[in-house]
Parts: sequence; structure tokens; C-alpha cells
Amino acid sequence: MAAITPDILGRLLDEHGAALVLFARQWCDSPEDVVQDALLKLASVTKRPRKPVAWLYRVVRNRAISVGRSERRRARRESAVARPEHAWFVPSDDRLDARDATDALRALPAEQREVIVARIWGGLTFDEIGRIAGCGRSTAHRRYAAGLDGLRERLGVRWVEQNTIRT
Amino acid sequence: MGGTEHDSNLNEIEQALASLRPAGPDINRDALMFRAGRAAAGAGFCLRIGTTVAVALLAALAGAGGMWLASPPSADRAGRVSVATPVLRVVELAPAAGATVRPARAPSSGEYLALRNRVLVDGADALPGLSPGSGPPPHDSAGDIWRDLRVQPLLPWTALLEERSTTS
Repeated sequence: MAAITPDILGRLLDEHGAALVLFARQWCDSPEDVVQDALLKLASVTKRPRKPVAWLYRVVRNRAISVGRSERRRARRESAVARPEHAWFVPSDDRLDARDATDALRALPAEQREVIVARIWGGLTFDEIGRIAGCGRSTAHRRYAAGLDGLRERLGVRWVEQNTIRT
Repeated sequence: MGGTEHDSNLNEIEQALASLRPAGPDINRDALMFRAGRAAAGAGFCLRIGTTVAVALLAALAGAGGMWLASPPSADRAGRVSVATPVLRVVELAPAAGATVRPARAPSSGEYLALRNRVLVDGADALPGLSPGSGPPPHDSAGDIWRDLRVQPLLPWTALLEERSTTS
């Protein structure tokens, strides 16, 4: 299979860039750099991966975990400097508040959070998620369901209230 | 029933989450494309260089192998040591013209004893074929043995004897 052309790279950035940044944000504070590195790596491979999107998620995950470790080491050395909090979502409609969703998602365990992000915003199958996360398909599905349960518990009250008020 | 309600709740929260859009990436698209082009060109250049080097190495190895096969074998290459000149030389005497070659026959005990007695009396000159100027008798059975093959040892002591006889 031929290498990635600039057109394909641009389309991948447009369609999956935001979700990839959200995915990388689960582990590190500089997700844009991680996604950019992954896209550059994809551009430099001579043989195009069979599933470029899943390949990107895998590379972003590995790179974000590595960068996150470095950031935590650096943060331990440098004393508490307030880092700016980036918004994970842009407000779309009134079904869910973006800040509440960010807080609820951030409170989830990491293995549930990565499955939810990869499934809902990345559009990956559970097979692909299992391969990326290093677990089986059923484990990925179980983590997904558990994560959604946790989000529903955290967001449920406000979400139901909003829906009730709206209806 | 409860399971269905639970699933519908999950689907609702799933749909609600999917309605949220992740914040747009703060990535400079033009800079990314420029760097991607450089990375792709660099990868292609490295691939071409690697291919060229590999082909050159293979060609050099093939040429060296061909030259090695075409060169004459040497002791080092064959892993063998040349053998010194043979110690014994076998001299085959040509049969006399018109004579028919007969297979050698072992002398009988009577002939052998007669030859032995002659040698004891006359010395080595009595041996058939060794006496100067006299060939072996044409039908002498003992002469057949000496006529067919004679073995000359080329040992150092024979050379010394020859030198001594010539100097004296």
C-alpha cells in the first residue's frame, strides 16, 4: 500500500484531529503535540497502515502515556505552577453541560475513559479498542458499559433535571 | 425488563455524550503539512540511499565471490599441504624388440638354489641382467622377474655410495 498523501493527512486531521486530541488528553497536558507527532509519523511511514485511524489512536496513546510520565516527573521537580485547564468539549446543545461532562469524564478510571473516548468520539470498534488498549474485545466492552454507568451516575441528576425542565 | 431499561439509559447517555464535540485541536495545519512533506521526503531519501547501498554491497560481494571461484586453487584455499617428492621411483624396462611379454613366473626351488649358489660364488655379477654386457638369458625364468620391473630406491645412502664410487 502506498504512503500517506497530503490530502489523506489533511482529511485525517480534519475528521479525527479533535477526537485524537481528546484521546491524548486523557494522559498528558500537551495533546496537540502528541497528535502532531503521530500525524508526522504517519506521513513518514513508507507503507500505509491498513487502518490508519486505529493506527493513529495506537500511536497517540503510546506517545501520550510517555509524554504524561515525563510531565508528571517534571511537575514533581518544579513546584506547583498552575497549569491552564483546557476545555475538553465545546458546548453544542443543552443536553449536557460541557464542563460537567468534562468533570465526570475526568473522574472515571483511565481504562474506562480511554474506551469511552475511543468508542464515542473516535468511532472505533471494540475489536480495535481492545487491540489498542491491550485487552480483549469483551473486556473493552465491559469497561465501556461500566464507564457509561459511572457517567450516568455522575451526570444523571443534572441531565434528568434538564430534560425534565425542557419537556 | 430492568436490563432493557438499563440499556436504554446507557443509550441515552451515549447519545448525550456523542452530542458533545471535542474542542478543536490547536494545530497549525500549514506547518503540519510542511513538516509532513519534509518527513515523507526524508523517509524516501533514506529508503533510496539504503537501497542503493544494499545493491552496491551485493554487487561487490558477487564480484568478489566470482573472482574467488575463478582464481586457481592454492594450498591455503584447499586446506591441503603438498606432498614431497616420492621416495621410490619405479622404472619400467622396455621389453626387447620382437620379444613377447610373458607374465612373470615364480622360479622353481631348483632354479632358485642354482642361482643362489652362483651368487655365492661369483657375487652380484652372477645375477641375471646385472652383469655388464650380458642380458638375461632369453628363456631364463629367473631373468623374467628382473626384466619386468626393477625397483630403484632413491635413499640418501645410495646417493652417498654413488658419490663415493665416482670420486674413487
